[in-house]
Amino acid sequence: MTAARGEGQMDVETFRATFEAVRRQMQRVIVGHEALIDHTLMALLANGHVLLEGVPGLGKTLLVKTLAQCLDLRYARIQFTPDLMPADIIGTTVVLQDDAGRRYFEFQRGPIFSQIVLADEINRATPKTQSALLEAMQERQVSVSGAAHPLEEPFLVLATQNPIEMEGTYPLPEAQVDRFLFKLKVDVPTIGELVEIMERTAGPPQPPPEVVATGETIRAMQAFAREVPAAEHVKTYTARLVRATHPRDGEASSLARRYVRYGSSPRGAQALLVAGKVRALMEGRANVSVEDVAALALPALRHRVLLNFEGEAESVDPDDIIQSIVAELPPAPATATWTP
Amino acid sequence: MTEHDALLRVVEDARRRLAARRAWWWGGRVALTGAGAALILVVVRAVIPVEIPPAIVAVGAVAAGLVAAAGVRLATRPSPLIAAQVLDRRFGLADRLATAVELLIGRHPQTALAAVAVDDAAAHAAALELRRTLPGGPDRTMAAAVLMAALAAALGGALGGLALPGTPAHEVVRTIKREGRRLERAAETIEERARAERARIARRTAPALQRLGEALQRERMERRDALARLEALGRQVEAERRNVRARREQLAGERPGRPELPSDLFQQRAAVDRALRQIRELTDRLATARTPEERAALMRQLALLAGGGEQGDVPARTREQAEAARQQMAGGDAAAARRTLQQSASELDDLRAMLADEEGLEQAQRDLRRSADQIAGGRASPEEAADELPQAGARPGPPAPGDRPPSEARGQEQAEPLPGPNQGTTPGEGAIEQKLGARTQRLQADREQTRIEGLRGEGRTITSELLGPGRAARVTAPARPAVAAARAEADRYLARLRVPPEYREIVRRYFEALAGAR
Repeated sequence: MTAARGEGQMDVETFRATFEAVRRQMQRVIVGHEALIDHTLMALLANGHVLLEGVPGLGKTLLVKTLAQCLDLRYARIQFTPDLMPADIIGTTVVLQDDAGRRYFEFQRGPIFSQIVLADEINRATPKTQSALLEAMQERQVSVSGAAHPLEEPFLVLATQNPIEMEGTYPLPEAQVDRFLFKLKVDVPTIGELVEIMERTAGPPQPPPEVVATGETIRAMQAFAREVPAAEHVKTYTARLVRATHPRDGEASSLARRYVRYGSSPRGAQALLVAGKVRALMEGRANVSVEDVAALALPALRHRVLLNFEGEAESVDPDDIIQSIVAELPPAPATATWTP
Repeated sequence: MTEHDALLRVVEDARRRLAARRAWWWGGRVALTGAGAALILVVVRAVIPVEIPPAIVAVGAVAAGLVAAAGVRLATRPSPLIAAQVLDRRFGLADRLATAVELLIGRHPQTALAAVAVDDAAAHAAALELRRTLPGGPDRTMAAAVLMAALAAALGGALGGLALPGTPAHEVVRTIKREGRRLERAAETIEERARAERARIARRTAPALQRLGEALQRERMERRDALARLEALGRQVEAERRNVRARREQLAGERPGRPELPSDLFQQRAAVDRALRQIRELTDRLATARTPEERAALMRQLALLAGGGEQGDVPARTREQAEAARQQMAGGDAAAARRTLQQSASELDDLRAMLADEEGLEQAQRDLRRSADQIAGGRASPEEAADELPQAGARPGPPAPGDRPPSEARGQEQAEPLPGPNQGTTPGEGAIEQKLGARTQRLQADREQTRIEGLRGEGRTITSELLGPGRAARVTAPARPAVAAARAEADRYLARLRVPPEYREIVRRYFEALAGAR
């Protein structure tokens, strides 16, 4: 199962093997969080960005750093604070003087000009600063003083936010949240995982993860994933799934009808399908299935569902709503007639 | 054959199987519903007399299921894409086949991975065993429907004629048994008459009627079966009757279209009896006639007989024989004339027996028809229903003219009738006689018990109308001072109600004016 793509050769097995290798190296450093690692890798290969939500100290930074190490990508960490300015992220134009005494402007690149950017506690920065990430995330370029500066591919933004400590924070605007392919929840490790963490960190230093893929490989994998065909009914299912997050849709679940104010944008459908393709390749398949899409509904849609007042008041978890939609949505209604 | 062809072949096979499975599914549901209806019918028939047998419904249900299955099979078939999707779902192929089929039929833009996806799907399709996992034969529903239909048919046969007491179905069963008794009695009557009148064929038919009557009483029989058996015997009796009639007409020497005998059997018998009496009388007189006057009188009698008799209803054969005897007498051969008349008497005797046969068979037919009507209507005739009641003294029949009512009869023995709770127009308020006065006096005539010989329908029905003034009688309803009573009642109401005095006075004046007007 080989397909020529670009300058290198990529096939399903190579894709899968590379994915496995990266995952294995990350698991050497990160204890547990298998789903988190998988979804982060999927987001990278789907050319998307990830919003990580979890309390401090759960290994979010380590995850990002390890990913960068495994892939030999340039990594930058930006600690978002209220006084952080957009220029601190993007960079700024400074006046320099050459040996002849002539002054000239030069653009000093900010930390956004990395391949993996960790936007730590992104909700602590002001909306103005947060919006500085918008163009970079969507357009994969930065415009300063009328000049566009493309970002080097692969480019992955991993933003973190603390769901508990909300004082002095600026919740991300919907437009920016929508630009994240996945929103991943970082759970508290289990006892076994905690013991393993202690063993790894309280003992002799562990060897760093090996570089098992390069940026070039990742770009090839990203392009390869786009070639995965999706059947018509899979695309239709994806669209129905996204539509069902809207409370007025005919296929919306009862929970969605009751607690959702506004459902997912079309970006949600795009995210589901692209990530589904990656997942299919990850499982050694050359086609997307309904199961791929359904499996990724939570990370791809949970941050795109806006709760109404009742939902907020009752602290409804959007995950429950999405799970109810997935559970109630028949995958292939046209087959129901023929499978009595 | 390439892998792609193999993939499409698998999908095509799946289409056929899915269409067949859906057809069987629908057929099974239809048959199951019908079989269920047949089972319900088995139960319902114990309450309501339903003519449709459960076996027919059960067989019809299975047949309808098969027809429905065939119709669905011919009318519908899944598309290759749908078939591929179904296979994907059923075998957990993660939409491999559906994607591959789309790629093969060109519904999906070709990508670098298209060929890989198709090869992958073809490899998975080759491993499918549709024969085992997607059988195209009848499903369990159809089998269950057939079993249920068989059960309904068996139960319908086993429980046929069973009825719950007090239900309409039970009434039908009772009617069948009553008609069975009636037919048995009718058979006895026919046999007695046939024996008395030497009607051999009618006598032979009576036991069949009796057996049918016994069967209707003894066996648990449904209305449809009872009617069928009645009809079968009716056909048999009709065939016998036709034979008898043909032989009788032959014996009487009647020519087609020119019957000498009356059409009514009773009148025919009377005519034959008359002719027989005359022939016998003439035969006797022929032996004793000595004088020319006596012989001349005999010749006139024979000539009259040869001409059809006084009423013109002498059978043709008898006329011929009378003419022959007359000519023999005229030739002086009195002995030959006597033999001829004896022969004629013998033949008339046979003719009489045949008429009795025909009459007996007609009676049997009437009995059968009547029983069929009663059973078909689900009710017994009033007299038959009365047969069901205790015979001796439990309940008197309808009063005949001149009968005295039971209460009056009791009145002779008991001075005062005891007031009962159900006497009078209002329970507990006395007998009707006390409220309305004595009964109108009946005609003072003794009732005579008269038994009329004969059979129903034989005699003439005479209907007459008597017109005249009614008998003057004294009015016995007591007069009541109605206005005064109403005024007193109004006073009572006025005293109870809060009516202003001026209006109270108006009301009082109104009733006083009424009393004055009276």
